[in-house]
Amino acid sequence: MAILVLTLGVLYGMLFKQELNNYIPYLTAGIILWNFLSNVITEGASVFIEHTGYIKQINLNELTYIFKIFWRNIILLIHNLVILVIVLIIFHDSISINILYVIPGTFVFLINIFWIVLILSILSARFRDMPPLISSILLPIFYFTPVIWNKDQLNERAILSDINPFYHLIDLIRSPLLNHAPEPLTWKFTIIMACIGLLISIPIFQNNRKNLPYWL
Amino acid sequence: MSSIILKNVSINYPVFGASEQSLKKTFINKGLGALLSRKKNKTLYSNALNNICLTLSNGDRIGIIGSNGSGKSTLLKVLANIYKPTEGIIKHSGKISPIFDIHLGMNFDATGYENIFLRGMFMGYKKHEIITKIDSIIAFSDLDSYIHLPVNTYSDGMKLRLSFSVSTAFDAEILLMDESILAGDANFINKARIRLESFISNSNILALASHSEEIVKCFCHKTIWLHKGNIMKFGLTNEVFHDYNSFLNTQK
Repeated sequence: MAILVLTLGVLYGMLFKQELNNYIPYLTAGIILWNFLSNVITEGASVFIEHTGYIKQINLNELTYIFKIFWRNIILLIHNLVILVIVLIIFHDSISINILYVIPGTFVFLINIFWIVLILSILSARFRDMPPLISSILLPIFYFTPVIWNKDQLNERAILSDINPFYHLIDLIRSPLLNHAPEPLTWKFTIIMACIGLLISIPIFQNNRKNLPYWL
Repeated sequence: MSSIILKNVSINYPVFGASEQSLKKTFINKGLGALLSRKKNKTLYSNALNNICLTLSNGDRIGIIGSNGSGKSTLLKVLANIYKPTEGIIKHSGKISPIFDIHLGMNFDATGYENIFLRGMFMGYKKHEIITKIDSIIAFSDLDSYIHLPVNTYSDGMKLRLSFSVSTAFDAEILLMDESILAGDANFINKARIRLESFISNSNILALASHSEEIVKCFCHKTIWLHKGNIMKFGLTNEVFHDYNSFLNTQK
């Protein structure tokens, strides 16, 4: 991870003519968060398929398996954040009060990923072409989302990022880590998305969880 | 008091072919296909259990017999609340301990000691409950100092001893088993049988699926004979086996 961030940082920093002092922390935070997001979504999608052996042997709450994926990836995320801390110490000078936005940001971020996983895990148990579909969609989304490039580079076309839910999710945590407050639009977008997402995903999950042993 | 009541329970497995498991093809068939053709795409169901009515109450020791595909394991899994009935209702009271795969929940990269906790928690016990039993579990498994080595380094027999010791360490209220737990090396079997007998006699309800007349007669006073998802006979073990064996003879 550290090697990836360093090489990409220098390469794209030169390509995009960015100032390395700002660009490398920005890239590091973005890649670490994207890594978490995409791992949870891809692993979450196939979680019930992977745990077929358990689901057919014992009646455990299905959420257990989903929380297992979350917990493992949160531990990995914390390990990766060490790299960001080192990068920040090297390239950044001060810490401001804005870093506190990390706490509500992480909360909203996790809720959003949770409902996405709820829907995708159930759908993937029923339709087995979902997991490959999801992993092939995530790659273009990665390039479309400001992770290795900056939203400012879009200039007047910034709307392309403003309508991208993944930009807002990443930025919820990335901005405070880099001492900015997330934009008000980001808050509105992600909180509304979390509410609508939970409203849709919980009934879908509740109505279908009993079918899981039959589908697997 | 423990009990399980099944009323008119039927289990129908959906049979999905490759195309029903594909989102793309389902979308095309149900969405576009419905517009273009009159052909009905109906999901096939396989009827595994048919209209089962059953009451298990305290003290029942039930054997489940029948030929392959008769629905023995499906019935066990319905009792274990894994398969929710597609028709009918099921009522439980009491904690259910399904023991089908005694290795379930174990991580073979972890040590034997850690796995006692993993397996114990998987069966629904708290850490402090496991700690009170840990010495007797280690003692029964005969693993001595091996208990602190990764389970990967164990022989199959040692793995079995470890998971058997944990799985039978806690008194179960409703115990559901298949005969796979009785497999193992002969030396261990004798020792295991004694423990198993006390484990079973401490439970309120036992349901045991088996092919072996000897095992069922040893543990169960009542027996269910299943055939193609229907209960052919439910009664005292000796009587059921009498009918079952004469049925098998007429089949030959």
